[in-house]
Amino acid sequence: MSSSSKSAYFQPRTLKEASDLLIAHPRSAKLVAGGTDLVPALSRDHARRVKVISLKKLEELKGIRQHGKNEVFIGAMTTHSELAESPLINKYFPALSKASSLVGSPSIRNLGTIGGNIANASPSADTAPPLLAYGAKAIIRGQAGEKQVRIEHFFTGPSAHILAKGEILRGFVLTYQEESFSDYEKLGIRKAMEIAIASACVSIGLRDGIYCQHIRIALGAVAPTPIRAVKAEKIVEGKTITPDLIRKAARVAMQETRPISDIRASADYRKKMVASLVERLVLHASSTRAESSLKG
Amino acid sequence: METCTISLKVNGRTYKLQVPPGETLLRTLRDRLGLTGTKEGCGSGECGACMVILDGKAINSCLVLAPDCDGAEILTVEGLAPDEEELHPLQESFINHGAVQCGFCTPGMLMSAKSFLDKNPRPSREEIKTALSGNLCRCSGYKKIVDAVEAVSTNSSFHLSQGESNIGHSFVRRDAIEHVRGISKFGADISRPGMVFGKILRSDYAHARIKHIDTSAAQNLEGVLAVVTGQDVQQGYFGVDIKDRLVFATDKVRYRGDAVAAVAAVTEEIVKKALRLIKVDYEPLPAVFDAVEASEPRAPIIHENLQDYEISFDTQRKGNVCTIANVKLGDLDKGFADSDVVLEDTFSTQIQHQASIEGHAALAEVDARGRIKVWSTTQKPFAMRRYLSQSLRIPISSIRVEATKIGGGFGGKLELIAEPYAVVLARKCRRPVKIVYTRDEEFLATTPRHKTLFWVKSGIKKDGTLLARHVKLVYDTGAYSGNGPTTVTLSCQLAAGVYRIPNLFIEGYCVYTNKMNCGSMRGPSGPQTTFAIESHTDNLARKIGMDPLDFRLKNLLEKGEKTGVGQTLVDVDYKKVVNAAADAIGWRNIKKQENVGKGMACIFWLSGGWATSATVKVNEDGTVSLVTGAVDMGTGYLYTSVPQIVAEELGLNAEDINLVQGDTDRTTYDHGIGGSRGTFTIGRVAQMAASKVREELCKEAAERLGVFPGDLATRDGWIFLKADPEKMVSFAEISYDRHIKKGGPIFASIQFLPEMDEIDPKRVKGLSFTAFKGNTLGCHAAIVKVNPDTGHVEIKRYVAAHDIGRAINPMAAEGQIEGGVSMGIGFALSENLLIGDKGEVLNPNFSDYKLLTSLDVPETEPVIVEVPAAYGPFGAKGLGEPTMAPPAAVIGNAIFDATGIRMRHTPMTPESVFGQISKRLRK
Ligand SMILES: Cc1cc2nc3c(=O)[nH]c(=O)nc-3n(C[C@H](O)[C@H](O)[C@H](O)COP(=O)(O)OP(=O)(O)OC[C@H]3O[C@@H](n4cnc5c(N)ncnc54)[C@H](O)[C@@H]3O)c2cc1C
Ligand code: FES
Ligand code: FES
Repeated sequence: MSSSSKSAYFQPRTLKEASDLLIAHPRSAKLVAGGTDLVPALSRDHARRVKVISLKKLEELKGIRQHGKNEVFIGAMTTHSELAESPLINKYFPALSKASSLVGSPSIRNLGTIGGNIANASPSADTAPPLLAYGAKAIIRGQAGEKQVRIEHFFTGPSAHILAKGEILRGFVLTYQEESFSDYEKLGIRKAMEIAIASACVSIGLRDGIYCQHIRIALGAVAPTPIRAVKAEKIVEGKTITPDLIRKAARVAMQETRPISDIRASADYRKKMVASLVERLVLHASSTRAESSLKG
Repeated sequence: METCTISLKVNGRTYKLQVPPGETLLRTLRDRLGLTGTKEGCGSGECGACMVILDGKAINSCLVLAPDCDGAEILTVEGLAPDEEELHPLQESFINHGAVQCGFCTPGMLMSAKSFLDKNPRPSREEIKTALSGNLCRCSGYKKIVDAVEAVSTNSSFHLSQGESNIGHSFVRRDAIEHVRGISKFGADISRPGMVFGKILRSDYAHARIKHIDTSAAQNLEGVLAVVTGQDVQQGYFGVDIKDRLVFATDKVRYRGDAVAAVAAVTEEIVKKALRLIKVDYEPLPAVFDAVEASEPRAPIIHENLQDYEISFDTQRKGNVCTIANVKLGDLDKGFADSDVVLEDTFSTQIQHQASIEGHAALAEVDARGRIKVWSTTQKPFAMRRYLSQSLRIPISSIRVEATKIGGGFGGKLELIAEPYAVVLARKCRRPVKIVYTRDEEFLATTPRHKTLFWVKSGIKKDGTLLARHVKLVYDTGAYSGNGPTTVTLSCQLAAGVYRIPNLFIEGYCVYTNKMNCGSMRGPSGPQTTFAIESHTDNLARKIGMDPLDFRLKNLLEKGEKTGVGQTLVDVDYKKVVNAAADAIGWRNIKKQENVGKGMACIFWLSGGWATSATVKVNEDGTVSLVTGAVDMGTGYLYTSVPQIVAEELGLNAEDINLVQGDTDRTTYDHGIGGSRGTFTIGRVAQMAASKVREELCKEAAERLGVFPGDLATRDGWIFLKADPEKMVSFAEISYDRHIKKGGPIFASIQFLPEMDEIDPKRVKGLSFTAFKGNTLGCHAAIVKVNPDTGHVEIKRYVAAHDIGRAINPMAAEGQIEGGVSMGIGFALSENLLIGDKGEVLNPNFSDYKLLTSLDVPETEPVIVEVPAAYGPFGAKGLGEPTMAPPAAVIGNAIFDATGIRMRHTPMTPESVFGQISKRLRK
């Protein structure tokens, strides 16, 4: 038996070492972060002899840190629990905290990481819409060094992404915007342990509580990848928000989706839920802002 | 294979281990360290049974690779209590609050709760629910578990009611301590020296002829010990009512999941590999998945020899229809002609799965004489022995079945599942063989609740008097009849309803399709029939502008009246139960609000009969042992009500009663647990045996004290003179002397086959059985809020009133109600086993087969009504099953009240509710 047909476990200490292992075992190597997606897949797929490359000991993938004036770095190995509880993330990127707090269950959140969530590239990944709405960049480390890629360009299809041979997600950089409101909502049947049927994240900057300076609308589980609803954003951006405008944006967002029908929901329902989610989120944003500007 | 050397600190002890790279922490804990308190319910992070605390955090041990834990500190349930004597406060609280039913989810719940309280010692109730939201419990409805955790966080002590009598107070289950310590042995926890692993090869086709099976490559694989197909074993047809099934399909496979071969090998990995090496040559046949299509003349025939199968009752069989059951009364045409309003409705329901968190497991071992011992998660050890004998042509005398602890049954563990395969493999390789079903096998190849279709037509007078009803009901029983005929029989009885209807025609059909064989899930036919009939009842009331509560009260049957099949109602008060539910929810005072509605529904049920027996023996020290062939599938009746009944009858404390149960060699016959017969029937036979023992004790005491037995009373293990309680003698003294000095030990064995109630034979045709005694009623009511934007239904309040005759153990009764309601709400809103167009199960996992979590189940308010049954022990009636029947109808009716939309199909998912709302808006 050749050594490549044997399974093995590696615990590299540096990203370089991890990347070299990926190159050395192009077919059988698997990165494991929290394991919540990967481990069940491994046990389902018994025939394959895998080389497990654990990311546990990679310090470079850990931590949530302020980066300059208004940038925050989130290490790929940051768990959903850490994101949900981080004061920094709660303050500047509340929709990401919320999305993480809605992943699976407490124990799944203790294990699952944001890096795994994004690298797994499920259209329904809960942290993807907030990352899109916050204009996050993925930091990718490979043999040729490190690069930053806008998260929009990361996903290429269901379970597919741009990571090339030997490349590893090191983390994400998010930029904080003043005076902005953001929120995330997820629809499913149950209140926990639920993969989204449709999800949406809105990040919006308002002046005087009603004038939209900038907006990003991101959607999950309604296309082959998590997406931005760019046309819908255009409808609201640079305008004074009215209920009619919101409804129009919601309708346009709906048209930007390409959902599938599967056992969880029909394409039609997913589409309609996008409209309802977007409408609710933007309405909520403007009314919250209007309230606070009234108070303030 | 390369292995990794790791060091784990588990419960304070350090272990150095060699593990393969892909091994999960769960496997390491269970298989290498023997710490079987950590359970496996899914193997994919979806149930929480495997929860442990890893470096201070609760995690699913099935998702973590053991090598990743090198150097880590792990706490499992076995390490929770400080020592052998003392329990952790959570363990204590779980026991005292009745938070332990089958106990299978308990270790995982405890670990989640512990890690949560360590971090957040003063949580809100909602935060507790969130903390437990990754731990599924199929038994409890979560309420008592949340109570238990809350009590620890608020440091409030809990005092169980204690009374003079053993009856009517919440005696805690005596096996709960084993569950909270994680030492009870469920099916998968049992192992034997030299044991190997077995697995079943299942059909890839929904319907196909088997042309050839080539097992040679599998046989030759290193580590394989036995490969068996239908060619290698003697088989006999088996089945509950119709013997239409074989252990191994030989000529034909009839659903994707039918067993064609089984393999035993030294490791599970090799078994799986060997299964892939077996080549089966199939000739695909046209398949049919819909019961109505299957009933049509040109449908593919699933059982060509249907007419030749042995059947236990008289019915018509033709094509794919294996049972036609009728109930007829009065003159239907005249009834409709005399009616002011005639209304027709159709309804359908989905496949619901028992989905016990514990899957099926069986272990078979053959001794030197060829006698077979089977450990099984069965609810029916004696029937299991008989089924094994029939299906494998082995004499009953060569088989011993011992039931393990059952991690939830709900009717899913009544039939032959893994057992015969373990037996044939063990016989072939002469090593103990264990088979544990994976979660997807559970969903593919066990016996869930029937999918159904109902057409209901009723005629009423303007004042709401019911005059006539015609019902057609179709049960899709899958590839084999299983419990279909009996379920259809029950459905016909329930469809006649709890109301007075003078003209009646009910037609029931049980139809084969190419799906898994449906069985008897908790209250078989109850949720389906109640959804149809009670939704229809509301439609009738609404049609004439009558309050659905008044409509029900007007038509409810009363004591002394006859049910549809002609059973005379005794010891019932239906109105009392309905009023109890209505009062508890405040039916008449609920204010109308937008998108908020109220609903109610009723279910009548019977308390199961069938043969049983029990022995009560007095030990030398005056304590008592109860020996019964029955088992406890998790409801706890055998650890609570039954010992309480025996204790009360004898005049002893329930703590002084020990149990021997569920073993075909060491106990006498019991039919098996199901049909709400636990307390009612086993309680009754135990009471009879106890009464005989008491008689003998009193006779002996009378001689000693020189009085008449009738002058004596018993209490706390003493027999005393009623007139002069100072004059007394202890059970211990009498029993010791009887054992050692004179007369021999005192014991009594009683056999009991409760008679069926009389029905009117002229009214029925094609029914597989008549009616049990112990008629009961349940009435539930709820308030729901519908979100018209998404279709989500939120249950604001849920009240469940049940007549249980006599509450032997109120806490256990509440637990049954809360658990049953939560299962019923799952049926109503989320659970749906989906079959694809090739007959494949589309959602064989807990991610997409959606059991409700602690955040989803409302806090049911149980209302216990007591209308004693003369026939039951101390008046008790059955309770387990009817609790889950009403929720779908209740919620459907409340959705109607809230929105004017009538839901006709379960589950009423957000999408389907939203769909109906949009449809109406378009109109
Ligand atoms: C019961 C259950 C419920 C769940 N519920 C949700 C939910 O509600 N919402 C949701 O979004 N997800 C859910 N998930 C999916 C999963 O938990 C998340 O996607 C999680 O964030 C994955 O992270 P992980 O660290 O566990 O990834 P892993 O399983 O370790 O890895 C996932 C994939 O990403 C790759 N990978 C991991 N890290 C990196 C990296 N740094 N660079 C490159 N590749 C990498 C791995 O090789 C693998 O292919 C659920 C899973 C389970 C089992
Ligand atoms: S066995 Fe691990 S979550 Fe179910
Ligand atoms: S007690 Fe929770 S699953 Fe049985």
